[in-house]
Amino acid sequence: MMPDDKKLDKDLAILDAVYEEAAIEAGENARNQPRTAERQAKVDTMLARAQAAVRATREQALADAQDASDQQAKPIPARILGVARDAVVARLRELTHSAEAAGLEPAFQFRELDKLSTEDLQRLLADLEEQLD
Amino acid sequence: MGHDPRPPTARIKLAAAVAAQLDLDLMDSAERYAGKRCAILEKAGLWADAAELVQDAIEATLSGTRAWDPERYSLYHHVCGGYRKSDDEHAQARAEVPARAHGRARGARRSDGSDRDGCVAAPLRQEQDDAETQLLNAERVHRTVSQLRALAEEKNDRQVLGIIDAYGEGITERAEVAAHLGIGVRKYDHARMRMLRLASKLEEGADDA
Repeated sequence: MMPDDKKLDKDLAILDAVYEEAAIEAGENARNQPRTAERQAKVDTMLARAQAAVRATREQALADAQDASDQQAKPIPARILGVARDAVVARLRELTHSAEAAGLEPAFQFRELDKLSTEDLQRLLADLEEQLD
Repeated sequence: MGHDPRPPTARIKLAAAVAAQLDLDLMDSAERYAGKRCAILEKAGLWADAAELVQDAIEATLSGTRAWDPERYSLYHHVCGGYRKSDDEHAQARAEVPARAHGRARGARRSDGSDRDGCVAAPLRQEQDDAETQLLNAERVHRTVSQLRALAEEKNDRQVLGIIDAYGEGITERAEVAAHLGIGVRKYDHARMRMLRLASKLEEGADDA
């Protein structure tokens, strides 16, 4: 017979609390228990995965910090600063085709250009020109 | 991956704080803790992998989904919620692992697919949509609690039965349970250990079956 909802809530609360206590006990006692080779391998793998996640977080943050720093530090060259948005886009497309023809991979795609501000496009053009120089 | 709105320096600091506490002992303890939490899912007819729960909790910490204050809680307490030794942490730190386990266990009987804790995985949702499975899971939960009570009655252990009743009423704090039973906390600690031995016996029985 199906236990009623209230009864089930109560049973779940009991089970939850019992296993919480058992879990606390298991966690606290882990340090006193020798690890088998199998256990050691499992924990090693877990630690390696966790450390990889830490590294990925750190590297992404460092890259973002570097990007932000580059954006702030590098001024847009005067020769590009006055160029209109359409002309910047046209020049970017032209240089991208040249880069592709030379076997290089452009760091952006045409479809994303619309989402960028004119200033960002000008920076992109400056970077691309520098790379292809 | 979307843009992370947190300042890079904050993320670097957080990653360093996590890295400083990550070691084999922490992973071992956390996995054992999570393993026991997963047992409640199994009793409810569901399944979760302890190592994955720990990894998820660590990644949620790094991504900021689960905010962690290293000044207040150790990484272990934050990730697992194994906080019996500190009243402050017990009162304030609700961790990813138990929240997920609890959410999943409760999700086992829900018919509307809702998930209060936001942690019921899609495959489990499909499972709970099956009325027959819900019925089976509810019966398993009820049977497990009945068996635990039966074991305590067999030993005529009134204190363990009292603890089970207190848990059923939502009283789980050490001092509160002891007060509810009208005993001191030391006696409660002893009774709690007897209860855990009975629960462990129940698990062994389930393994043998």
